[in-house]
Amino acid sequence: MIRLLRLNRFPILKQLQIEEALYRTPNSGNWIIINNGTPEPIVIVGATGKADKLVNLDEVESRGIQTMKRFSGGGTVVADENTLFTSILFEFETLKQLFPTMSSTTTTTTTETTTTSINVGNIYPKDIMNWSANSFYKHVFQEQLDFRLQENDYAFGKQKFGGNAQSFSKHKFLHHTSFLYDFKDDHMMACLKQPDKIPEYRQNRDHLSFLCKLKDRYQSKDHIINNLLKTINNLPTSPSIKEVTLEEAEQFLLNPHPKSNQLFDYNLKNWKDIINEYNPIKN
Amino acid sequence: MISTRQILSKSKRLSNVLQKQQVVRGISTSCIFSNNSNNSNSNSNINSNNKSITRLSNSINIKSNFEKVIFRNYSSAIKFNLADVGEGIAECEVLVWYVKEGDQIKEFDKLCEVQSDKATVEITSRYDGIVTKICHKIGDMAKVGEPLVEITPESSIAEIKLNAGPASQVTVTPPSVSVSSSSSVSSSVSSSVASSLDHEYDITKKNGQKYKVMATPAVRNLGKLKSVDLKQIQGTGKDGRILKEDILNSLNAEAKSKTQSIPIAKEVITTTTTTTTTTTSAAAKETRVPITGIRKIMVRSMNAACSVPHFGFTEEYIMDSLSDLRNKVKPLAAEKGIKLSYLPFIIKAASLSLLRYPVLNSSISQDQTEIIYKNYHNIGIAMDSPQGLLVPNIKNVESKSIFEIAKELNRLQELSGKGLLTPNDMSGGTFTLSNIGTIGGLHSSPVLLLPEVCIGAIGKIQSLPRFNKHHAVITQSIMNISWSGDHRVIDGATMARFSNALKDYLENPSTMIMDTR
Repeated sequence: MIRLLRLNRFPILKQLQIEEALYRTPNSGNWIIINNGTPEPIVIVGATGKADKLVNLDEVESRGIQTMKRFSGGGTVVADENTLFTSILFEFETLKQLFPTMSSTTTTTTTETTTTSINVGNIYPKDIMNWSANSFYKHVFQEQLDFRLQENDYAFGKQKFGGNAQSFSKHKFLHHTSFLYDFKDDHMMACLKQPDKIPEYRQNRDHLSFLCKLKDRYQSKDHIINNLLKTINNLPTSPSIKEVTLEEAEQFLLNPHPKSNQLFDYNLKNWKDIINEYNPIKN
Repeated sequence: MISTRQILSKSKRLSNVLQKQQVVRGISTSCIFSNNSNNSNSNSNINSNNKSITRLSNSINIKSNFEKVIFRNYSSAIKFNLADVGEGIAECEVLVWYVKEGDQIKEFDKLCEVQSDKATVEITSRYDGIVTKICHKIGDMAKVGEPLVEITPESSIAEIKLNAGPASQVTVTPPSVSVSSSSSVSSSVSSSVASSLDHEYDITKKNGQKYKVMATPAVRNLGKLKSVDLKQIQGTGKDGRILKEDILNSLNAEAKSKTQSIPIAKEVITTTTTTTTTTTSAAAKETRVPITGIRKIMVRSMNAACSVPHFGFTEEYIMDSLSDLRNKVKPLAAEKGIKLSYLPFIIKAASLSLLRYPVLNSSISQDQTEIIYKNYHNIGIAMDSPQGLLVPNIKNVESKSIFEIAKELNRLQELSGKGLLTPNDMSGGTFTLSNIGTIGGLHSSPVLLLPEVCIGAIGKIQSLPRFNKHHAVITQSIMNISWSGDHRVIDGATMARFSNALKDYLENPSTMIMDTR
């Protein structure tokens, strides 16, 4: 069974806390989460992100924008109400049942893929990245003939429209994506620095030359969400899909688990643990 | 009888005492608890450890013999290396530790979380035991294939219990070979991978039927210590896995049957002794070394390449003109600090030839419906390094001069020798050359480095007799290159034409200048 949680303008910070609880709680099941935007702009940095290297902190602070560090790996994004978030949290056993002939990548000197049918147990982060593009999102964006996985990004041709982050544990993986339906050009340019580590296909382009907007190809976010729902309902072997409420997902926050999402404190110039109703930390 | 739990409990208290006492006579706690011998079981290392331990013991008045025994036997800690987390990524940042030194840990318990490129990955333990050393702090970059943590397996501690006595008579458990978890993301990515690789399947015959003997390394270790043939044990774990309890129960049952049937004991012992001798002799004839690190990647790569139809093509290339050119420009290169071999010329010539036959610089799409032509030539050069065969690549050869290619080649060779090649150096290759002739050999059958479709193995240059156009015998410098191509997209004619183009460039190097953009 796959639990489907649909959210609308739900704060991404809280969503990531729920996702971390689901990820770190054993036997939490399989989940797909779709969130149509986050109400306020926020800069989201990956697990090892160095805020001062990735973000123009003074600029972000002056614009009243929060900066957070999520628990999963990956890059940096400025998210807002026009960002579409999708998260896939699957147990490997489930993936094996849905895609029994799923292939693994060779792991030598190239980022391209080739197929070798082997035991699906040998799964690496790159394999999940390929699977997500070729077996899932390819169907979501099937009208776009130039949709592809460019290194670790979803792109149309060589322009990125979706960034990914992943977490792997013994029995399950989390693969979540920020899709840029639209974004404020000056937020991207002003808030984010050019990272030291960039994908090769970016070829040193600045943010605006490198990124593209889904709104240029789709009239509404609902169209994409409908495509997502169709793809979920058409998964191989037709697993049961159960739409659940936010409250059901929030129950997992009660399980004790390590909490790694953090907020940047502009005064202390450091990351601090999040203190709110989702993550009470006693001082 | 002192139980293992009591020993572990006392050792933990002792660890706390030592940590509070900080460094005593220059011997730190981590020194005592680490495997100073690098998994070597040499007597000199054991004696050195013993002296250190004795000095420390005197300093903090340890009176109990079995506590001294524990110190000595921590030389049997296993170095648990950081697994390969995929695609040749060389290092990961340590994000969080879920254990600390001195903690007891069970197989599959979480050890830590690391960050590799786009993924955070949870690393779990492969052993029951005690965490004896954390090799990296949070924020450190841990190299793949190098120790992440040291764990003393429970079987070693069990041996301590059974041998507790005067220190001088303690039998030191031979430490296990340094184990690499590079088979997968150290059993944290997929439980079935963990199962297939941790449990070391033996295919053996029983009643004429083949079956798999499944047991973790810790359980196998205990079996060896107790001279128990695992094939004779009925496993009670998942899928028939042999657990530690199964071995201990078997030993208890054997002990009971010995006490109950003493008159038969002599005969039984004789038989057992004979069997033991045979096993020892047989065991001495082979040594098992886990396939780890780069070799493990090679196994996977080569297995994948087997599914691709290769076809071979060999040509001779006359190197006299190139040799003259190289001799002329070598001093110029030396002035720039560049060591100039033949390889930069061959690389550049290959790139110029690829411009004319770009299909050899392509790959096939995953669904095998498209040929993906690369507009850049990232030419990989196979290198023999301390870690094994590595293939870093020189980026964008199509827009580099021969001097630039030589300089980059020098840089990659230097880094390869030191084990410092980066993921960027190793990824994105489109075409590969292997200069195996520098070691030896004339012809070979190179295996494709997928998803590339062409690879060339360069043989050694020989001085050989050949006929000139006047049918006179002359001496020429001849080099063979053996090519392998993916026959799904490369046909013989294309390969031959590519080789001819390369031959023109190498035999008439001035034409390279004319065609270089």
